[in-house]
Amino acid sequence: MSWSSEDEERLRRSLHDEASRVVPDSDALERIRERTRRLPWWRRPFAWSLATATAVAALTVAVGVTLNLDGNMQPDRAAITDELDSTGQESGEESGDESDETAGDDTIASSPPSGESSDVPDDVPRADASVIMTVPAYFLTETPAGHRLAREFRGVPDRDDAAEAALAVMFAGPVDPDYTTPWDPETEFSVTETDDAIEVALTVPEDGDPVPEELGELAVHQLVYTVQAALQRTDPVHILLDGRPADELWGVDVSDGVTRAPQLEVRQLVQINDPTEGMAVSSPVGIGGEAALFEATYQWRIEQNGVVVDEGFGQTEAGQRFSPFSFEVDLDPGEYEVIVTATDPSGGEGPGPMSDSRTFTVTE
Amino acid sequence: MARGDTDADRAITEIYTHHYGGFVRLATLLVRDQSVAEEVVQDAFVELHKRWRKLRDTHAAVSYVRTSVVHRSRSVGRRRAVAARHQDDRPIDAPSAEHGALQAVAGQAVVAALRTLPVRQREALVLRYYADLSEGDIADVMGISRGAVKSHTSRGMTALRARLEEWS
Repeated sequence: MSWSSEDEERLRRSLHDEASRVVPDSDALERIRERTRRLPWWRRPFAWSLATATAVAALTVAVGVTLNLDGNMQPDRAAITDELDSTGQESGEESGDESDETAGDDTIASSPPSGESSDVPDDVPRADASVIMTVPAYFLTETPAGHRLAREFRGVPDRDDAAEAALAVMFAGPVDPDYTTPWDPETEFSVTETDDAIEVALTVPEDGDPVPEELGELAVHQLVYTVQAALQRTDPVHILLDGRPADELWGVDVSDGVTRAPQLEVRQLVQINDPTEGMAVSSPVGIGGEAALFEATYQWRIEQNGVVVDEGFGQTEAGQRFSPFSFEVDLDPGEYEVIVTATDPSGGEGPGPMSDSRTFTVTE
Repeated sequence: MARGDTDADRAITEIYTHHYGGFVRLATLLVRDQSVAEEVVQDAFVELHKRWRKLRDTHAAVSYVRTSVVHRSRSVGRRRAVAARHQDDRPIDAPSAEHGALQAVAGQAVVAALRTLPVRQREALVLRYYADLSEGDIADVMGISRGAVKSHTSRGMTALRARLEEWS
């Protein structure tokens, strides 16, 4: 040793002297919070753009919580766009071998239920049950091309784990009467994220109803899509049954983990996001969603008691991949159903076009 | 079970309260410029927030932030190496007549000399004599063996010896 303990003490003192002159920024926690607050948009407590006070009141009844809305909530479109963009890139890489899909096409849960969300003020506790978050959950629906995945965005009391919240909704079942789920509602589950995969541990009740074989593959993708959308990750999903890595689930080989199936193969090609099923809205009613359409065209109609009260058609931005659509309709108070249908490229010779529908109430 | 942001927010606040100032001081010793140090530490906290789910406990989180601060300071240092070298060459300000000031200037001379050391020697010395970490913890933070920590510390001290001895 060529130095003394005295040298060490001098170094220690000089470092502490130097450090003691540093006065840390007293606003730094606020700066950090501003940056960490940029959660995936559906995990943020939110204000729906279409949700007028009336609609929010109706929603409040529907989910049994009170939504804390006040003037401080500002829409945060830029953040949403950023996140969707980055998702598009990630999933674009992941689906790079699918020539019929583009990055934008494979965006996970690509449209918010109403296009806007917002942050809550700092003083709203995140765990407060009066704050709700939106989770995506996939279900099955019958289409002319057989069963396909369809999605609901659902408001649930805010909790830490988006994937488990979404799975809880998925297992509990859909609100839309056109959707179903083949999973037993008593299925127990937990989700763990690793660096390059998502692990879903399931315990299927022994005396429950198994998923029918013909729906097995779609049921597995239902689970995969729901968890991936909730976590905004497209990493493979590894399934554990009763705590052990599963080789097979509902007749599907899941031993190597399940990767995301191409959307055009498993999803219903027309998906309405707004309004949500049973929602109370005010006129004019904004209707929106996403669709993968031949020549980008769709037809819509509004029915009341089975009678068409209004109809029209529109175009999405791009054809043959998932792309957003939206339109507005003026309606008198009452209950309605909106049906959005892809135009039929086969002129009636094919299996028929896919469509999606929602029932809603106009309150004023 | 997955854990998430409510926990993460609480953890950030707790760790911030107890450690933010210390981390900024640590980073300032490593990078010289306090505003850069603040950025480095804030980046590390934001990263911690993302990772909280995997870390889950405060002790592991504090270690994570410390390691992150050291590594981030190193990469900032690399980008600023040229500018820093020029600054370190400048003469220390003339001492004032006051004894405390003299001591401070001597201390600053040591710190200035420290900043001219190779980055790993500087890190090893700062982690040991400012952060008071054990050799094992320093090895973990720097991502090197304990033997390497010893050798960096030893070389760093030897290089500083002349400066330290000026400090009577």
